Amino acid sequence: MLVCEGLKKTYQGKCVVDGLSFEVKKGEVFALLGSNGAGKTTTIKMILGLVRIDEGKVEIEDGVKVGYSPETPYFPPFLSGREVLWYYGRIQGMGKEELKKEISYLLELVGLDEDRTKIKQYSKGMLQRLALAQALLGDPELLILDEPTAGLDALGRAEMMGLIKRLKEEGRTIVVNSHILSDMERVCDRGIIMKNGKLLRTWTKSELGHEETLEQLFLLTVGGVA
Amino acid sequence: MEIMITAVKEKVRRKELYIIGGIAVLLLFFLSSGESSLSINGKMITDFSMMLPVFMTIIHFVSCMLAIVLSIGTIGKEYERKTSHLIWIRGMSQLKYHGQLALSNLAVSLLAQAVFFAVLGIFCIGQGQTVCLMRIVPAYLMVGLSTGMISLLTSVLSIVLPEFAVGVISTSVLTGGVFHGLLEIAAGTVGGASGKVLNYMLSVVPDLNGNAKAASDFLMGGFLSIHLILKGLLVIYLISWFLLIFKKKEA
Amino acid sequence: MRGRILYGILGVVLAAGTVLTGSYGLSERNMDIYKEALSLQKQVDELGFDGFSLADYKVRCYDGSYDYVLSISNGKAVKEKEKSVLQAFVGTAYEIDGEYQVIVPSVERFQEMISALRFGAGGDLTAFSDSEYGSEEQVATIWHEATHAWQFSRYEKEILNRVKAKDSDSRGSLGEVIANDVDSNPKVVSFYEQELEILKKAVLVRSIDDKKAYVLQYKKLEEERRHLLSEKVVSAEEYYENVEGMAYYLESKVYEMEKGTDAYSRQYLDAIGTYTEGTHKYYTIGMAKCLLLDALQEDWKAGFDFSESLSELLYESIEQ
Repeated sequence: MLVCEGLKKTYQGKCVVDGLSFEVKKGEVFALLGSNGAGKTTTIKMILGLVRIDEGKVEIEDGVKVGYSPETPYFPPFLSGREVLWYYGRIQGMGKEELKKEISYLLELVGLDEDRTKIKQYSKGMLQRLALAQALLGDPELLILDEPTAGLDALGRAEMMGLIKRLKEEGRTIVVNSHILSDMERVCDRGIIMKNGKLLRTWTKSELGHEETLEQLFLLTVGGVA
Repeated sequence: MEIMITAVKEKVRRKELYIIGGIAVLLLFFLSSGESSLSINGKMITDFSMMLPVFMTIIHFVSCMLAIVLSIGTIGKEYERKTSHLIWIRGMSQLKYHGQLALSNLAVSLLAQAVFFAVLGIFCIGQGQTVCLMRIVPAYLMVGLSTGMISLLTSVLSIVLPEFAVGVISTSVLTGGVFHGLLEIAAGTVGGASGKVLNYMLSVVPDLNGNAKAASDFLMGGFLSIHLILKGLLVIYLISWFLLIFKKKEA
Repeated sequence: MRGRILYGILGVVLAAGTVLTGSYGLSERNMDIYKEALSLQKQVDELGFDGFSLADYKVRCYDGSYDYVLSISNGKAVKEKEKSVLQAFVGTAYEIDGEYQVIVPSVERFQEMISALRFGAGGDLTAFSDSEYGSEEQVATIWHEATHAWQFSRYEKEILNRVKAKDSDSRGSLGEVIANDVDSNPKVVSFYEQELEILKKAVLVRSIDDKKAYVLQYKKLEEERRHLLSEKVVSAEEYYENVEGMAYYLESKVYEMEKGTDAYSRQYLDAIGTYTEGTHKYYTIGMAKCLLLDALQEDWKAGFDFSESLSELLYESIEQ
């Protein structure tokens, strides 16, 4: 579904992603893990074409639609959730009738009310869920979620993870960037661990036995204290 | 046109337009009361035919300044708060995206100008100048050429330059355009190499004052110059090409 | 792609329309103004200036880029584009290739100058700073500058001989002399204010005897004032009165021919009693003296060769 080869990105002389290569298979939930400054968000931006790639390439399977949920989504505060989805749906060229139905479905899926609450009254959790909803517009096969649980409390995180699981069950391929390892351990099939822009290791869920958690693996890899 | 409509809605909700309304009310008070004590070479201006060009000059300048204020941050903010990410990934070209944002700036700038012209209309009614009132829409459109030029220039520059630089350049162009006639005379008076340099600089700055003068002449019963209208539209057209040329390298 | 092609075509249409609707070179209006000025020759002849014909002097209209030389050739008014001599927006008479030519900004440029400088910076720019400048005003301006061309073509030596520069330590332009010694001296200014009041009465009163009485009063004040001034300053004043005053007088007469007596009175006569700083007051004073000479010595222009001042001629006329 997605192949990244030798990705390199430099900002003002500093190499933030250095020779990164990995592959995401169809139908799996793939995690990009790393501490702050590891290059996870930059990698995502390179995959999405939001920043230029200095070296390397990104290949996405032909015809695959991509949805993206940003870490700190900004939506016009005077719009309601429905209006935000309408806005983005129309931008991506969806028909009016089709869009109306899809919006109703997505709002129900992410657990947002159908009422006319304005964005300025949304909580952080509601914003994250709306971000996920707009990423699902047009029924994309590949989803890229950047810190989907950032700023959420435990309940919010659990709900978000539940959504991701449900989306996986629908057959979508999901790439998730997060530093909340416990969440990643619950939903992800595979992933990579990065540090200073470099790939340290890949991991699979099956590797993690009963005795080793993802957190332990992570700390061992990046050189921290368990 | 969703981006344009939403951007307009966002601007209309912001405080700038309340400030514009306040300025317009002050202007109305200034025009209609006996407090307007303008003089030229020591002689008080009280005649409508002498007051109108002065007020048109003020309205023209303020409208263009507001066009800068209303246009300067729109595109930059989109990238600052990363709303551009959700547009870029949807495959919309930068031309369309920036173009719609620039159009929203233009629409709101013209709306602000309309507020001032509404005030001018009320003044004309108060002075019993109904002929003037009948001609106010074409005059508004004439001044709108200047507002449009400045708004579009500001929008286009804001794609590639930081706000401060855009403000300096747009304000310089506005000043050069408003004082175009005076600067041409200065160039002619100074003469020589300095005069030539000034003339070359003036050749890239549109004569915005010409639009204001044409509008006030039209309001007083004159004709609108087709040449000026076409020239104004041509300048706007040429500036619009920079929406294609100027691009962001990254979202 | 199709959209861009159509947009490109739009640009071509706009550019073509802009070029086709523009006016290039000197507008026909300036030529019409020149022809109108020429048509007033007979009426100007009646004023009595000896051998003064506008057609004798080329008129150069400067539009900011070129001089457009307007002249008569084979009985027709013609226009030729030439490289600008002064490259400046001035109204003057200037010697070019041994002959004096009139130089004026085109009427459009003059209008821009007036409206650009109308907010208090006009100063000595022109008498028309306060009002609308149009074709009639440009006709009057052309005759004003043509008067200078006539003056300097025929009487340059006499005019310059009268300008004394005795005080070589403080030699400066005549305008600076006026500013330093006249406008900055409150006693001198006070005398002027009284003189101008009397001068205006002299011009406006109908009775010849009353005119003579006012002129005598004026003479007394003028003589007292001039005791406060150096010879250099007095000769500078007389220069302006003679040269600019006479040109202003002719300009005002042409203005009256174009716009009528009421407009002429408002524009020229009303200003006589007002003191202004700078050299413009001498335009008005000189004009007033010319008007008084018209009333007191009808044929004063015949034989006037600038070897004496207008004041001297005026006082001679009341002694007769």
